Amino acid sequence: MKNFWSRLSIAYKIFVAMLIVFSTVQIITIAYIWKVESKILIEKEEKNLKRQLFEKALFLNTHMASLAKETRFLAGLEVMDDLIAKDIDKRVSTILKRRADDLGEDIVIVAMNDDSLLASSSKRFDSKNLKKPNLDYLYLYAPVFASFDKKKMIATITMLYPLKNLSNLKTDDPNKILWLTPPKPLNIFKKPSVKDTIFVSQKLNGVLKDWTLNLSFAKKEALSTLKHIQKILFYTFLFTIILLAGAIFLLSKRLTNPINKLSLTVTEIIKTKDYTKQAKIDSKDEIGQLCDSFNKLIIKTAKLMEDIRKQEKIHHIQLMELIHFFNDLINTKTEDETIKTALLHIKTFSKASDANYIPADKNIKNLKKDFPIKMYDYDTKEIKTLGYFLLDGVDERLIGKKLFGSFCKMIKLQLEHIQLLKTTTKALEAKSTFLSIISHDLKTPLGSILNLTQHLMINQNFTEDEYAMLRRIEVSAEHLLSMINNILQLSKLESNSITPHRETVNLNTVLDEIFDILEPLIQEKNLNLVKSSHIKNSEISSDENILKQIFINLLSNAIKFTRKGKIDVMLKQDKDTYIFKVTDSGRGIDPKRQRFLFQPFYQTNVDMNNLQNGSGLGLALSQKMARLLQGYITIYSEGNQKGTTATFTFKSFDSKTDSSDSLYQF
Amino acid sequence: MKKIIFVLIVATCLYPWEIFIVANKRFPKNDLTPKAVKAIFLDKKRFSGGKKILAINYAFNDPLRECFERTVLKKSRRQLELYWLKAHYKGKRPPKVVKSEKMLLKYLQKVDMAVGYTATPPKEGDMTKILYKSRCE
Amino acid sequence: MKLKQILFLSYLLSFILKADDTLIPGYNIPQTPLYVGGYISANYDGKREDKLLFDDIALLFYGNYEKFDLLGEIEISDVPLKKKALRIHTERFRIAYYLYDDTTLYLGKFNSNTGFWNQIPINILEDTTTYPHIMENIFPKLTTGISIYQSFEEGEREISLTIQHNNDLDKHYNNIIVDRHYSLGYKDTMDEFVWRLSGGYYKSVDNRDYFYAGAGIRKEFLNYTLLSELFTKRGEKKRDIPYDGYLQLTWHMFYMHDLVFRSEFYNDESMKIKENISLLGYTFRPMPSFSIKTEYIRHSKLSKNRFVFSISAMF
Repeated sequence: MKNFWSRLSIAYKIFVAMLIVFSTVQIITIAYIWKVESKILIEKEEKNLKRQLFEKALFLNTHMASLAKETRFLAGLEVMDDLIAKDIDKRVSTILKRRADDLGEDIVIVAMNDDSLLASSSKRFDSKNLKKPNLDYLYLYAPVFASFDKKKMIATITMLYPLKNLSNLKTDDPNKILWLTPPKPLNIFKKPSVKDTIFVSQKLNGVLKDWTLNLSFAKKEALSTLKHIQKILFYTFLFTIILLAGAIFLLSKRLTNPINKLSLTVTEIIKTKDYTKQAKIDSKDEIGQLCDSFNKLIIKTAKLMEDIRKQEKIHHIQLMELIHFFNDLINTKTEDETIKTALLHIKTFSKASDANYIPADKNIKNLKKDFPIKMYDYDTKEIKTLGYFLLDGVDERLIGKKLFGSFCKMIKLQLEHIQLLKTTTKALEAKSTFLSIISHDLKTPLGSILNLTQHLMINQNFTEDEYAMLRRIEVSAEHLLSMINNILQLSKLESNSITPHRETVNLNTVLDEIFDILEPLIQEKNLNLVKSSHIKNSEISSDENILKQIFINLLSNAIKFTRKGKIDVMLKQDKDTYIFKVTDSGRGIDPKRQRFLFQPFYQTNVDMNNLQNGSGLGLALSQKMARLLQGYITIYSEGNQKGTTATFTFKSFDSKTDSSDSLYQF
Repeated sequence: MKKIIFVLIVATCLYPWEIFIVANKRFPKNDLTPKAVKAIFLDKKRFSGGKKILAINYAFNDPLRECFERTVLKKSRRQLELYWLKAHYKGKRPPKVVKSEKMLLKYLQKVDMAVGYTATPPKEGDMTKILYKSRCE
Repeated sequence: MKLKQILFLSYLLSFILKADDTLIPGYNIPQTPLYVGGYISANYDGKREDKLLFDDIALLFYGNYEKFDLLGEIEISDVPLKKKALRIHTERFRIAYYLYDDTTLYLGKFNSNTGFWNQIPINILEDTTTYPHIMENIFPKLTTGISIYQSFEEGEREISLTIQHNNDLDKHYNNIIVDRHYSLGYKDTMDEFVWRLSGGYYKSVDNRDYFYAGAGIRKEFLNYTLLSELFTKRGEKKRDIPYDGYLQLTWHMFYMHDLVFRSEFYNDESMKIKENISLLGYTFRPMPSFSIKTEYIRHSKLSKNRFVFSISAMF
C-alpha cells in the first residue's frame, strides 16, 4: 500500500489531498446545515408565518371593520328615511344593490325592521328567507335613525356576508394553508391537518371577535430552500472537484514535465555515458534552478570523468608499461640483461631524465642509496646488494619508494629465478649424465646376472629348492632391471628427450598383444579377464610403444592388486577421444592416498616381501607418457576392497580438436 | 289631542292640478296660511308647536313641484335657486325630497311633523289632513 | 400660492361635479346633521395695489339639532397672489336657539342685522363685485354678541335686537372694530317688496361713540330688481356722515345675463369728501352658483375710476 502511494504521480497525490479536504468540508457543511440551519430556518419561517398571519389577520379585521363601517354609513344616509315609507320608490333598494355590487363577494344588504324586509340588494332574499337566521352568512347590523328625528329608529340595515368567503381563504403560496376557526364549530370551516407543518394562530378582534386565524406551512416546503442549497452545494462540490482535477492535472503536467525531462536526461546520460548532455528547461522557478544546478553538476561530472579518463589512460599506460616491464623482466635470461631491462623500464616508467646502475662494488661518494637492488644468495644464504639504481628527475608521484620497492622485489625474484634456473639446469644435466652412466654401469652387471641365472635354470639338475632359489634370483634381477629401465626412462622423460613417433597404430591389435604379454601373469593368478573393444576407428595415429607401455602398466597394476575376481578391460571411443579402461575388483585405493598416486616413487603399500614388480614409478611414468600422447590417466577407487578403475583417455595425433584445450585439466 | 277633522273635497271639475297641502293628523295646526306654507317650504319657519317640521318636496323636475313653486311659493325656479344660495349662506336647507306621492303619503302617515303636498286628496283613514289647498294655474 | 390655486380650482370643480338636484349647495356629512359648503371669489381691480386678489375663500358649516342651530364660517382671505402666508379668520360663528316657534336667540358672531347688503355681503350672492359705500364706514358689518329675533305673521314681519357688550371675536375681520354695539332692526315684507329699518349705537375701540340709522327697500320685479339704501351716521365732532346711500337697478336681461346700474352718493365729513359714484356692471351667471362679473366704476371726485373683474362661485 505504501509502495503504491509513493509511486503515485504528484498530480494524483494533490488531487487526493484536495478531495479529502473538500469532502470533509462538504460533509461537515451538510451535517451542520441539516442539524443547525434547518432548526434556525424553521424558527425563521415561523417568525415569517407569524408576521404573515398578523398581516392577514389585520387585513381580515380591517376588511370586516370596513364592511361594518359601510353598513353604518349606509344606515346613516338621508335616503334611508324612505324606509319609513317601506321604500316604495325603491330608492333604498337601488342604493343597496349598487353598494352590494360594488363590494362584491356575494354580499347581500338588506333593510328590515321587526316586521318585514323593507329593502334588499338581491332579489333572492325576501321576508321568508330572513325569518330564520341563515347559517351561511355573517350578519352585520346597523340601526337606521330618521334624519329629521335621531331618536326614531326606522329600520336596521343588515349586511349578510357569506361565510364561504371566510372559509375559503387564499394564500400566495400553495404550500401555506390559511383557515379560520369560528368560536363554535361550523361545518363549512374545515380544519386541515397540522402534521409536519409550522403552525401559527392568532385571535381576531372586531367583527370576528373570538375567531381564530390559523396559518400552516409544510415543513418540507420551508426547508426546500435548504435542500436546494444542499443540492447546489453538492453540485458545486462536484464541479469544484472536477475543475480542481483538471487544474491540478494541467498544473502538475507543467510541473512534472520539467522534472520528467530532467530524469530523462539523467537516464540518457547514464545510458549513453555522454556527460555533455544538458537538460533544457525554460522556467526560472525552483525546478528551473534545480535543472541549472543539475546541469552544472553534469558539466562538472563530465569534466571529472574526463579527468578520470585521462588519469585512467595514464594509469593504463603505466600499467601496460608495468606489464611490459614484468614481461620483459621475466624473459630475461641473464642477470645483466635483467638489470638493464629493469633500468630501462624504470626510466621510462618514472619519466626520469637519467637512470644509471651502479654496481655495489663501485665505491662512489655520496651515493644515493634510494633504490637498492638486492637478491638472495643461495650460496651464502643471505641477501646481498648487487648495486643501486640512480634516477634523476624522478616524478615522485609516478614512482614512489613503495612502488620501487615492489620493482626491486620483482627484480630480485627474477635474478633469483635466473640463478635458480642456472643451478637447476646444471643439476638436471648432471642428473641425466649420472643416470646414463649409472644405468649403463648398473645394467651391465645386472644383465650378466640375469643371463647367467637363466642359463643355469635351463640346466635341469638342480633340486627344487635350488631351482626356487635361482628363480628368486632371476626374479629379483628382472625386477631390478626393469626398475633401472624405468628410472632411465623416467629421467629421459623428465629431460624431455623422448618425442613420440607418429605412426598408424591398430588399437585392437595392440590390445591383443598386451593380453599375450600379460598372459602368464593372468594365468598365474587365475583371474577372470574380460576384454572388450567398442571402437569404430581402430586405426589411429600415435606412438605404439608408448601406448603399449601405458596399457601394460595399467593392466599389470590391476592384475597386481587383485587377488581374485574379475578384471574388465575396455576400449571405447567417444568421437575423437579414445578411452582405455581397466576395472578390477581388487583391494582398491584409499581415497586419501589417491592424490599421491602419480608421484614418483609412491606406493600405497610397500610390501618388501611381496615383490610385486613395482617400483613405484609405473603410474608416474604412465602419466608422463600419456601426456606425450595428448592424453591423461585417471584412477578412481572407493578403496576398501571395492576395486579400482583406471582410465586412460587419449587422442589421435591427427585429431581435429585443438591440443590446447582442457585435456590438461588434471 | 287628536282632533279628527277630515275635509274631503272631491274635485269634480277637471283641473288636473289641485294642490293639497297635507300633513299628518298629529300636526299641531289644522290649517295653514299660504304665508305659513311658504315660510315652511323656504325654511323660514322650522317649528310648529315646539316641534320641528319636516317639509317634504318632490324631485326638482316634478311638475307638481313646479306648480307648487309657482302657485304657493310664488317664485320662479331661478329665483328659488338664488334664494337657496342665500339660504345656504344663512344656514338654511331646502326641504327633503321624495320621489313619488305614494312615498310622500307614507311619510305623512308615519311621521308626525311631516308636511307635503299632493295632487290627489288624501283618503279617509289615511291619518292625514289637509292644511291648505289651491290650484295650479 | 399653489395651494390657493388648488383650492380655488377644486372649489370650482366640486360644485360642477355635485350630483344633486338643482345644484342645491351644501354637502351633508353622513350620520351627522352638519352641512358644509363654501364660496370663493377672485377679482381684478385695475387701480388696486395688488391687482389680483383672491378675496374670498371661505368654508361654511352648519347644522341643526332639535332646537339648536349652529353656523360657522372661516375664511382665508385678503391674500394677494404673491404672498405665501395663509390667514384664517373666523368670519362668523353663532349658535341659534329656537325659544318658541317664532322666537329665535342668536349667540356668537354674526352679520349685523343692518340693511340689505350686509345680510349677504359676498360676491356670489350680490349683483356687483364692489360694495356700495355704505358698507365701509357707517356701521360695523359684524357683531359679536347676543341677538334676539321675533317674527310675526309667519316671517312677514321681523324685529331684532342685538347687543354686543364685549370685544369682537376675531377683531381683524370687521370694518369697524367695536367693543360696544347695540342695534335694532325691523323688516317688513309685502309681496315682492321688502323694506328694512335699522338703527344703533356703537363704540369703537378708540373710544368714540357713534350713532347710525338707515332704511332700505328692495323690490323684485319680473325682469329687474330694485335695491336702495340710505344711511346716516352721527359721531363726535366732525365725524359725521350726514348721508350715504345708493340706488341699484339690476336688469335681468336674459336668463344668464344681468346688467347692473348703481349710483351712490355720500358726504363723509371725517374725510371731507362729498361725491357721487356711478357703476355699470355686467354679470354672467351660467348657473346660480357661479358668476363672472365685470363693472366700471366712476368716481366724481376721487380718482378711483376703474374696471373691476371677478369670478365667484359657491357650493
